[in-house]
Amino acid sequence: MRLLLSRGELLGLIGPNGAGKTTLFNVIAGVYRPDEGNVVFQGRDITRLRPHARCRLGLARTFQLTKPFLGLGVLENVTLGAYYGAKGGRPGLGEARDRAEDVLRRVGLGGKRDHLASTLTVGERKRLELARAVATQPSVLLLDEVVAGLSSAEVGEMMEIIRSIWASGVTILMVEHVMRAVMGISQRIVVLHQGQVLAGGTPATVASNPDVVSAYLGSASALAAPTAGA
Amino acid sequence: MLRRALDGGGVYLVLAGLLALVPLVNSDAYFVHILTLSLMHSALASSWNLICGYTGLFSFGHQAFFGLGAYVSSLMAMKAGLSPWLGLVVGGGVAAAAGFVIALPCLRLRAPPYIAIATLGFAEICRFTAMNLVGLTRGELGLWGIPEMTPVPVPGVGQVSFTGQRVPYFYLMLAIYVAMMALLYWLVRSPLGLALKSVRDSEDAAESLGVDIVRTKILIFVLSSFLAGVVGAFYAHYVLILTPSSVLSVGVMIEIVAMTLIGGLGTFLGPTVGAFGITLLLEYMRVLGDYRLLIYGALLIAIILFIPEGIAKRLLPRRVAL
Repeated sequence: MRLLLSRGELLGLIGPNGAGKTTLFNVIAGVYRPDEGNVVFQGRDITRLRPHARCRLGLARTFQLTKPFLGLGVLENVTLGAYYGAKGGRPGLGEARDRAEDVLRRVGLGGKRDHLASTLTVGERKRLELARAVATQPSVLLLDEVVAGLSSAEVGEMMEIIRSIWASGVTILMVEHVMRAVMGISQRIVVLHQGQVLAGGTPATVASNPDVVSAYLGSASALAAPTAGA
Repeated sequence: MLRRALDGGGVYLVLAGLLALVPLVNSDAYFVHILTLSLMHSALASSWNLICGYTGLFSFGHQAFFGLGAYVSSLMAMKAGLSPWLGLVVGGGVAAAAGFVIALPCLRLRAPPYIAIATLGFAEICRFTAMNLVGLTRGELGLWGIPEMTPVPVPGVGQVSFTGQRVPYFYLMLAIYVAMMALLYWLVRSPLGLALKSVRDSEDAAESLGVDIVRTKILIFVLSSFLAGVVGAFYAHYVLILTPSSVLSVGVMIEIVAMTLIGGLGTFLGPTVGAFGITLLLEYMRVLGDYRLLIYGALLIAIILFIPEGIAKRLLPRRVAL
């Protein structure tokens, strides 16, 4: 398969369970090494780089099941990303902390900065996960089901945060099951099925593709883009 | 201002200062000996706490580094005439090299039981080697004739001799302990400390945020082993006799674990609280004969059941315990 992510794009990656979305995600992030083929980032072959090195090049990710550092405070969680993951040289600890505070405010966790991560709710942990990745100042952000498990109101808030991150110039690849979210925000959608690219195009094109409807949900309405205000 | 000084580590300096005054108040040899052992156990448990409590790597072979430091420093002093003072560093250095070697296979292991088995296996190899190299170590007959620390000039005090003295050894151990804790204090509050805790809580997430977990794990294995090796070297030149079972057995490891868990795993002062508690308890319950071990076991279970976070976290102010 070949997947091209253009600079400044917000690409949604969807597919039924077992399609290979998370596997592909992990190959891009460096958790898995592909049996064959390459991962090229900004013209450089990064196939053999470990995840931390990819992060320092500007490729950050979140996890489907959040992995907060439970023994650390919220600010410390984000400071770690700002310090170790920074592109183009490591900042001072004070600078990293300032950046972390700024990111926490942007994701609406400014009031929780001194709390232990273990005390956060599911929704807050999702935001923390996002904040840590954003603090690394990525060029490309990989979001793995970042709104899964959130209430309808929380999904709306999270999409606004993602929009603002995208608007700041970050390229985003988003794996998502919540159609309302992914169809409403993505510029382009790629559908995976059994490890292959089944279709690609605008959300409207993909939602009306009979192969996608048949392979994915069996219902055109389930893939429909959200109506205004949704 | 006082609060800022206390938050900045001043409270630990005050505690160390108070401890330094104890032999001036009570210089009874047995009492000073128990205090010295308590400090030694504190340092050893703190070195293990660095690798297990802060980094989450459940090494169950820490006794290997303690024993290597002890044997290397002793043998270098006996066979090559190396000064015991240099032996502290050389013993620590050899232990650190061993830590590097055992870190490599552990990099591929994530689940605590596998790391525990790999490190325990390494420690058992060390123990059997020491037992069977009878020509060099005298095996379980014991390596005796280890030189004491040589006299050293101390400004304001003059020449300090260690021969047959307990108090100088106490101050030497206190100096080692304070230096080690100062290093740990700085380390756990530095960005590296953040990296250690992130590896402990989630290796995947840490790596995805730019932490080089391979380098971090190797570094911490080496540092922790070095510290244990220095403590081992001190022990050798203090008790002056070594057997494989006294420094390389699983029993040593169990003591380290018990002290750290009772005091508080992953806390700054926890291992010290646990080490002092257990060492003093076991020594002063000697009048009870074997019953003391029964009480010790019951107490251990009770604390793990009812104070699983450790005594330090429960009883001491947060900024002191952590």
